Parts: sequence; structure tokens; C-alpha cells
Amino acid sequence: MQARLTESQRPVLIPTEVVLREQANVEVLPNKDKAIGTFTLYVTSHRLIFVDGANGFYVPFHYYHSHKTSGGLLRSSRIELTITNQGTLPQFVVELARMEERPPPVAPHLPGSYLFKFRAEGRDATVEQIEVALRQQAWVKSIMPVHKEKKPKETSGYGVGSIKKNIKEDAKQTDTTLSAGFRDLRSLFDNSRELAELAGKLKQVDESKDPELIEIKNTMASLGFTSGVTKESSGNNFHVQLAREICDYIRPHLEENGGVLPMLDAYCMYNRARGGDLISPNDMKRACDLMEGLRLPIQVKSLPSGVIIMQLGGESVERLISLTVEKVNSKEHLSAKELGEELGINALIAKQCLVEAESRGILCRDQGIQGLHFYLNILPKIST
Amino acid sequence: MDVPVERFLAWPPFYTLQPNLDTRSQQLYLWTQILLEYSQKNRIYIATSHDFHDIMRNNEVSRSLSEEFKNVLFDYMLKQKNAIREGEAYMIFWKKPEAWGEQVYRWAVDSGRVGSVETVEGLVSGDETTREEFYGMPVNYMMVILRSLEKSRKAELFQVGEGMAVKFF
Repeated sequence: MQARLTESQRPVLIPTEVVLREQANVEVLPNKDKAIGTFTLYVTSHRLIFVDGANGFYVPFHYYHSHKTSGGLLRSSRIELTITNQGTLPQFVVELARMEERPPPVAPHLPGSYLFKFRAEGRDATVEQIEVALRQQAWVKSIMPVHKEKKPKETSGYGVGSIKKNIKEDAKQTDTTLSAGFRDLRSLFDNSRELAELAGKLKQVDESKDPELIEIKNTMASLGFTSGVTKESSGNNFHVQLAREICDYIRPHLEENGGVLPMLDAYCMYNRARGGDLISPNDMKRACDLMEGLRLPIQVKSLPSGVIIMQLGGESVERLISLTVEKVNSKEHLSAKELGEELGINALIAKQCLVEAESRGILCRDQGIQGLHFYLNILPKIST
Repeated sequence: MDVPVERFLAWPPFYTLQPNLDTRSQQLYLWTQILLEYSQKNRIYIATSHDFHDIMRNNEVSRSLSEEFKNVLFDYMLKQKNAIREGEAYMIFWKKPEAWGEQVYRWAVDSGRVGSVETVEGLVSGDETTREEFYGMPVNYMMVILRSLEKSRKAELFQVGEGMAVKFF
């Protein structure tokens, strides 16, 4: 089944879906026949997603029948997966169609089995996560937002006896919830579903004019992902996946900031969005160095001043610098803060644009009591 | 290059040492022209930065040169041979010593002094040179000029009693 991908070629997750593992270099052989290519495999709570560049497909756990592992010393390690439930549709596919107000798709015709060959290490870790997903059975649950109905309290009886009974009932209820919560840490992600739903719901208030809701939405968005890339989930592929995720995350922020941000700011924003489980500056740097090779729409550039910036497309910085010169020309002189306000860009980037134009001899500076201001360089060239 | 410099004296960035080296040398070049012109007008031969206090400050735009700027500026003038270090001070040469030398030599030729001996003291403060531009300059300043003439073999310096004397060829 065709998988939706983000611009940076990561799968678009459905509501409540969580990525458990990313595994690069998996060869896929439908019906154990001919390989159809080598993919990055995402094991999620709902499905196996296969991505190769801009192409992606997925196999929902809904069709899972059984699996076994093979291979070893002489042959590459493998997983064989057999398929069942042909002719039906997974619940989330139906629900997703309903949420998007389109008719459900025709049930796909899947091969009877798949063989996955692992070109790199990681089969066992992958199997482990598949088994986690199988245990959780998240795909049998509805992805529709839940509306909690309060159970009407039973009012059978009167007096102290009834009150005592109610308290006992409540305590029992709490006890069950608590023990269910602590039974297995792995079920934590399952229990986080409501939070993810809340985040999802808030995401949909885009059109809402209510400033409060938008504020909450922004806060939530900056608080965390439901599914950040981790070393555990992506192994050797970590930096590649990180580069893609950073790209998806930072892009709208770049658009808001005139196309350019200091890498340090981007790093802080991204890490804040991850919530816990932070990435190191080194990981950020390595991921960013990969961006060009991955043909992602964001470029990383070192300015002569030593500041590393991230920019959209090729010419963002150049465009900003010529805007900077224009602004300084029309205002006679500008500080970095003033320029940032004029152009609607980050003040540090504004400073960098001014300094860059200065280093090209177009602008020069005035360090006065009111702070650092930049002027057009009107000094005559020395004719020697 | 003849640029009306007044425009720059009222331009705030002119008082901030520019970090871009190309821009900085444009700036130092202009400042040097300003100091030389000022020195010539006020007959400043030997100076410290105090002597340029008035010109290095503009109260209208509340700007003045920093100590660092002044040091960089004098270093630039030394390198451009517009100044020579003299103890803690600087000899300012709005005209290069060689150009002064030619002027002194022309005076010697015109007044028939070639071959005779003159005291350096007499050259700068004697009755014979009162109409000359170099009249009134300090002796050690004149010595620099005469040494440049000596180098081009148009003069020879030697000690006479307490002071120095010169013979033109």
C-alpha cells in the first residue's frame, strides 16, 4: 500500500502512530521471489513502512499472520512474514478515510508472504520491535479522537452503606488504572495515546481564530513530537534520519525568519521540540552535514565570521544581504536589532548580514554610545 | 586624490576603526591626508596625538578617535613614511624628506651656496632663509631632510663644535 512521505522523505504518521525502529538497507522480496529494491524499514505501532527515496509503501500489521527469522553465518539474516486477512481493510485506513471525508480505498491485494533480507546489522532489534508492536496491538484500536463518557454513578442504595460502597468502587477503579499503568513500561506509549490525540486535535485548530487555542497549539508543538528520531530506533541510519527530521521541523521556522537561522538557534528549537532525549551538538552537526548529499531543501553554511547558519534553498543569505544593503541605504544607518525588525528576521542573522556586507566593503560600522550601527561605505577608493 | 574631507569629519563611522582591512586603509588614508593638511596649516613639525586633539574629535556628532585608533593611525603614517618616530613623539612629513631636500638644495643653488659650509641651525633660523618654506623648522627635523640629500650625494653633514654643519655639492 502506498505510503505518504514528507518532503524530506520520511513517512507521514497517522494519528496515534509511533515509530519503534528505523532500519536501513532492507531488501524486500514479495513471495520470496525477486527483490523489488532496498528500503529503509520503519517499524511503527501500526505497520511496517518501506521507504526508498521518494517511494514508499507499507504493510499494516492488520495483515500479519506469522513471522520467522532465518539466515545466519553464511546467508544474510532474514525475516519471513506471512500475510492473512486478504480482502479486508485495516481499521485505521477506514477511519483515516472517514476523517478526511473520502470513501475508503479498495482492499489491496498483497503477496502471500514477504522475505526481508538485512544488508546491515539490526535484524534482531527489528524483530524485537515488531514483537513489541504485535503485543501492543495498537492497530486494533480506533485512531478517532476519543470522547470520554462519564459513567453515570450507580445510585443503588442509600445511607452510609451506599457511600462506603461508592468509595470502595472508586478505590478499586483507581487501583486497576494504576496497576495497568505500571504493569509494563512498554505500555507507556500506548497510554500516551490520549496526549498524542490532544496534540493531534490541537494541530487541527489551524483555521481557528481563537488566539488562545493557537497559543496552546504552538506551545504543544514546541513541547514535543510524538515520535522523535532516536539512536535506538534508527541505529546506523540515525544521522540520515535525523537530518530529514530536522529538515521537516526547521523548515517552517526558516520560512518565518526570512529563510535563515543560526544553527545554534535551530539546534535549540529542535531539541526543545524533542522534549527529553536531546541530541548532542555533534549529532546536529553530523546530520546537517548530510543534508546537501540527501538533497534536502535546507543548506548549512559557514559565514566568514565563523557563525554557522541554516538557510532555505541556495540564495537565501545572498537575498538577505542585498535587502540589508537596500535598507541601510534608505534608512541612512541601522543597528542589527533595527534591521531584524525591518526585515522580520532573527537579530543574530541580521547582524551576520550586516557584518557580511561590511566584510565585502559595502557597509561600515559606527560604534557610538547608542550601540553598533552600520552605514553605507562612502569612503573613496584609494587610487594607487 | 583630492576629496573634500569635511564631509567625513561629520560622518560618525569615520571615528570607528573599521574591521574590514580594505575599508580601514581607505579610512586611514583619508585621516592621514587630514592630519597632514592640519600639520601644514598649523606648522606642526613634531607632534604627539595631543596636538591633533581638536581635529580628532567632533562634538557635533559626539565622536572622537579612540587611543587604539590613534595608535593604528600613527603606525599607518610611519609605514607610509608620512611620519618618523622621534622619542615619544612623531615628526610629521606633509612633504616627504626628499621633496624638502630638493627645495633646500634649490635654495643652495639659487643663492650660490654650493661648495660652501652652512650650519644647520643657520638654515632654519638664520637671516638668509626667512623667506623659505623650511624656515622655522626644528633642527632635528632639518637633519632628516639633509640626510636624505646626503644619501643622494648632494650634501655632506659633519660636526662643527657643538652643532652640525652641511656642505652642498
